[in-house]
Amino acid sequence: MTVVAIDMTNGGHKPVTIALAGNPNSGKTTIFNALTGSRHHVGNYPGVTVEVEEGSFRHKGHEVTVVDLPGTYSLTAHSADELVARNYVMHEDPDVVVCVLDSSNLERHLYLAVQFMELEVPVVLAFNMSDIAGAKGQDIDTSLLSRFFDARIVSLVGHKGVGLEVLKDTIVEVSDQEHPRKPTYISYGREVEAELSRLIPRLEETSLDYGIHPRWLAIKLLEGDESVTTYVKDVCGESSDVLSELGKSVNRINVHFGDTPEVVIADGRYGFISGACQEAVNMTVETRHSMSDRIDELLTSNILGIPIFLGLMYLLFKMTFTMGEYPMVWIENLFSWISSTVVQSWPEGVADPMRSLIVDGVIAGVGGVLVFVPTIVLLFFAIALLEDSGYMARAAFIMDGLMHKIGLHGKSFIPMLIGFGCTVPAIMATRMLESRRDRLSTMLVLPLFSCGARLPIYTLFIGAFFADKWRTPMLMMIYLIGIAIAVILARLLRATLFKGEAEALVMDLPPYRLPTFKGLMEHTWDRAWLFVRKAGTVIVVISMILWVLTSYPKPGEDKLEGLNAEDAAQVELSYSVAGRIGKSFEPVMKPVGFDWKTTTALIGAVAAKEVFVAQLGIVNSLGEGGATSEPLREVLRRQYSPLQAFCIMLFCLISVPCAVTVVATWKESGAWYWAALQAVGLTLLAYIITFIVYQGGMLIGKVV
Amino acid sequence: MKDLCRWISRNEDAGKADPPAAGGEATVSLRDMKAGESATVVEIHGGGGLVRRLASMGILPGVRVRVVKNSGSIILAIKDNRLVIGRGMVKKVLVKPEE
Repeated sequence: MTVVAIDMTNGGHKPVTIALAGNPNSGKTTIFNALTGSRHHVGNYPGVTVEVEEGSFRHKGHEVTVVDLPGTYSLTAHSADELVARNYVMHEDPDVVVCVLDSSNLERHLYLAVQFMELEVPVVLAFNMSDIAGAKGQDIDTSLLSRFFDARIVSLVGHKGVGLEVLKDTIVEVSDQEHPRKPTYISYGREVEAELSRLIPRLEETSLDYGIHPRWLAIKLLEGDESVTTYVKDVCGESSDVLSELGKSVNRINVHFGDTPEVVIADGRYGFISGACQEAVNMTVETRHSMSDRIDELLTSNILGIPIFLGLMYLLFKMTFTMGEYPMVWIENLFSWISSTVVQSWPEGVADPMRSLIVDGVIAGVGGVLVFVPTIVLLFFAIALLEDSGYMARAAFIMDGLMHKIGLHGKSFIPMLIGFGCTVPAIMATRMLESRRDRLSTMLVLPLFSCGARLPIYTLFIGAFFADKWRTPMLMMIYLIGIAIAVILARLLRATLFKGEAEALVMDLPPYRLPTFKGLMEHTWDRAWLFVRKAGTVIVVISMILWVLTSYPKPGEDKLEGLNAEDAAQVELSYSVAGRIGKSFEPVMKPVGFDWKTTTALIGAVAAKEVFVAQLGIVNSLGEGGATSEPLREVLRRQYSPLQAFCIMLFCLISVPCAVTVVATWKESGAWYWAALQAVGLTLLAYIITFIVYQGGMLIGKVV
Repeated sequence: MKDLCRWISRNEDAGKADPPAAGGEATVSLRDMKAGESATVVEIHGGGGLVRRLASMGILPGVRVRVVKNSGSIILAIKDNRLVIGRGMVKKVLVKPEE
């Protein structure tokens, strides 16, 4: 917890910290953005692996810090997100928890709110999407509900900003009041209460200090909450009175209700909520889903579901990459213009290495990052469109069967699809997966879904080595090999590193909604900015290091005398660190069919895969040739066999992804070792597979 | 307030809920339900984690559900909600079909 000194500029008003909580589709993010504007940053809390966004606003002299907790359905310790939300509230002690609820789906959303109340923090209920509830003919008596739940209620229409000022007022007012911590008032019925009153005195005898009333601990113990149970075991020992009493209580409840305590307790909560809603909510007929159900008849139909899904995806991504082309070219042109301007205005012969560092290192590096931005923005826009309209949940439903066989979640399919365009946004899209295990196993295999930047490599080699009629099947084969390896690897990861029951897919199927432009823009902007901010700096450093590796040390002037520009570039690259590494690795790479030129070009390709083609041009004294450059193909044909060409493509497909991907994995997984595992693991795998293919191919060649 | 806190059946439109069947009388798993059929959830096979997770989504014994679609994975209607239940989970939810 940050220690907050009283800031005199606040005029004596105390600073307020609030936590924003809610179900994943409660419109929480919209309210977070509306409250805090653009004042965001990523908060750091000990033990928090999931990112927690933080923002702030000023209201009536108070500086209010808003912590955006991950969206969850409950506060069990079931997923990382849930644990983060719970631990934050328990350990960081926010002044107010604002629980955002979908008013048109009150009972389900109140289930989470009630669990926050059980944590004994002051809760403000934000009834979002009150316009939809109203349109549905739902009449909510908020003042009555407010009395039932003993919490202030504010009605909101998040995306229109309706009710925001009232929410701010309420937050400030509630935070100003004294809130004695009090145990929850939900009665779980005579039998459960009897067990609780047996357990609580036992808990009070121990030295447990969870910073919370023993009643909560007792409820959690009855519910079988893993993290609380482990905690009690650690402090009191396996054979303590508390635990033996607990065993008896669980048994009695099982016998009495014919159900486990977790069911009985969940029942108690719903019973309370549903009782309150019956009194305070006037519902008319069910209308919300009739239209949606009819659309779903078509979109999730057994026969048409998958074709429509694939068609939509194809359209969306085709559009994304076609539209992304233009701004990409603009950015490339802009940066080459900046480079040439710098080169021209640089005084002749003064500090040449400095000029090269700025032009080839810094400017090229920054350009290398920014060139990704248009595609990323468009892709995130596409994803936001899928999510906000409600189609994403349908896509997960359609793909669940297929993905289940791999041991992954229906939703993992989306990042994989994006991966064919660019792995970086794909890795960032894994956020939509709730479980960390799913997220990591998807992330680690994503580079195998061959990205757009690798296409020029395939075009170059396939064009050089294979006859016309073999070209398309060959390209297909490369892509399919990638998918096959990804599937096998994902299964393997799920069986080893990320062992455990496959995260069961249970999710809301929201009614179809027309996305608002503002909502789409917010989602898109948030994610794109995150990419630039988080990956940007690291990538610039990496591209500068690669620049040093491929340009230093420089050969003496005498070695370059009488050579034309292309030959000079070749001599310089082979003299550089990269060239030397390439040469010294020749014995290692020979068994997979690579000469030093290929290896050297691969080093440069770590910056971005498509650089491989340019680097191959340079090592072969042809300058920076393109993928369709006939002279380069000619040279390649002379030097390599088709088997070698195939092996080079295979290696490029499987081996270490580009630096940007590695950095994205590092940032998204929250730990460098996952990125290292991905980079090293995939490169080793590439080596092994290419080795087998090359040696096998040679053997067959000898026999035939 | 007192009468609110008593155990209230949530399936008001199904009338009074039967107490959960003790001996698997006529229960099937969700997997065996066809689109359009309604049922009352009887039991969830799985650890406490799964039970609590499903409970937080509104699926717990005594709740009335309607199968909107079944193609391995299931789309379920609970009151005015639609939920997707993945392939791995449908067989763990035991229900008593309505006549």
